[in-house]
Amino acid sequence: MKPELFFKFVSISFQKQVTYRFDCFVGIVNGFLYVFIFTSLWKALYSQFDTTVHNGFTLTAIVTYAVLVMAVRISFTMDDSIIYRKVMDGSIAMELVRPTSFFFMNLAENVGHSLFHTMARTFPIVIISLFLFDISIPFEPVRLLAFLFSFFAGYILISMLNFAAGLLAFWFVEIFPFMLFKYALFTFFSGGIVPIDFFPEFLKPVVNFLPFQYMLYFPTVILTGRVPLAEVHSIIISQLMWILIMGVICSLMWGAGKKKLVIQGG
Amino acid sequence: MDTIRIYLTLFATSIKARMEYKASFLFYIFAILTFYIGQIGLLFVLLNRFHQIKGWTMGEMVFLYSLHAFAYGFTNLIFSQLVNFDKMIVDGEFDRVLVRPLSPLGQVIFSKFEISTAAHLIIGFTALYFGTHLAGIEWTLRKILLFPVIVGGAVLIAGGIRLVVTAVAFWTLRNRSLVHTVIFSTKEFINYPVNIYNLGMQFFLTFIFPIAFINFYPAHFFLDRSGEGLLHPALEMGTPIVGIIVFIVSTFTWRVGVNHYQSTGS
Repeated sequence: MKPELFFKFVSISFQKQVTYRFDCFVGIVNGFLYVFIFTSLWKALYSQFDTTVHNGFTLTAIVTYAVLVMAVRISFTMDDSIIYRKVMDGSIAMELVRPTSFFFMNLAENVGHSLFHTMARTFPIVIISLFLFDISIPFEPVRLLAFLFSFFAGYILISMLNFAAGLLAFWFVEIFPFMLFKYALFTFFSGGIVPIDFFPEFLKPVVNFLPFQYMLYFPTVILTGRVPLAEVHSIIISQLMWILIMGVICSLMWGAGKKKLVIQGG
Repeated sequence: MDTIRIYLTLFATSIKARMEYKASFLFYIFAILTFYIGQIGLLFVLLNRFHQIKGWTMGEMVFLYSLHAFAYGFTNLIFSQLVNFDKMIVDGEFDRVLVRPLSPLGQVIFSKFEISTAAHLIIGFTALYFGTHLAGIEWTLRKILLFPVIVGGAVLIAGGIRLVVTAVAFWTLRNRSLVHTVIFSTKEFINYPVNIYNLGMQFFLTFIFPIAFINFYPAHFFLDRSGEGLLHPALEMGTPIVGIIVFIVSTFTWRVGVNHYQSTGS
């Protein structure tokens, strides 16, 4: 797919979001609500002990993590029901006859969506949080660059996960249960609420076996400075490997799904 | 008498509609259970490390969770259609409701039956069982008799809040994001004991948006806890009264909304 075409689709999807201004305001409140709940939770937990460091996190570090992981998560906002709706109303047929890759079309749509949420929600929430909470982000240009790289890798992974989950609509009439299941696993294993460092030992093998920690946890800890710069490259390599694995899964599913797909008239 | 029969028919029809895909139904229940097990799992991860949250141990937290699950399950059963109410307005489906010789609110409520209640009841009873054992709750006759009263009050609070926020659609038409924030995101507040928040937020959750009465205050009664934070002994038993007040206010708001309603013409 040509880059110009890709960005054209990104821009259309972005503009679609802009029309809902009230939703955007509510979205800021919504995101901030989670930041408030989890920072309160960590403060309450830490206030019970004399020790100031738990599993490698000081109170400032864990509050910073709670704010930034939510910020990253909001930036990753995308509509995971697009494919399902296209299958339901039959417009998926149009996608099949287009000369463009369906995956990249879908990615472009997601990027536009997410770009809007980053600008309209993530930035305001981070700025408000900087004033309200004790947050410390190390300022190292190399780290920032590594974060951006890991952030985009995580984004592609999430996009692929949603793509694969959406393709299930080719086989099942109702995919909301799958989406909820995916959301449940993601919430638990991505480190979106509790960083992986706090997980008990017996859960670590499961966490390492799944791709979720590469979507939220690792990009965030690169930014907060919890990971030494020397280890960053191995994280990014793991992310790229997961992109490869998920890519294979997506293309296999797409290939099989196209054969399975039945369009019921108009 | 006829009215009741009509409502029961509406109710039965909606159950049949939801049960059409049996496999999907079972997987849906399974997905919801996974979601809640994940949430309780995160609590477990935190308490495994920190032992308690502001004086609340695992057993007490689980009991808090069970009250929440019961209240939410029954609220979903009765008030589920309200979640998508703005769609009824935008599509003009509400016009049809208005011309029928039955109460508009009654018709809206009975037009959809939410099967997720089954999952919530499973979670509620399981959490109640483990909460009772872990926290050593003594079930006196008084507690057993008051349990359904408290859950009933909690359902009135949660349902009343849904009514108010859906009634907003009479003025704004589309209010999906607001509904989701107020109904779903705020649930996160009471997954934890309310005394972890600052006093301003405790006041808000007690007197303005009184969801602390759904589980936090009544849990003190069942767990024989002495008060902390904003708790006045009288608030322990406040749930049924607060429920009635919230429900009266919300049905009043709904009526004002119906009178203000102008069809979208679609």
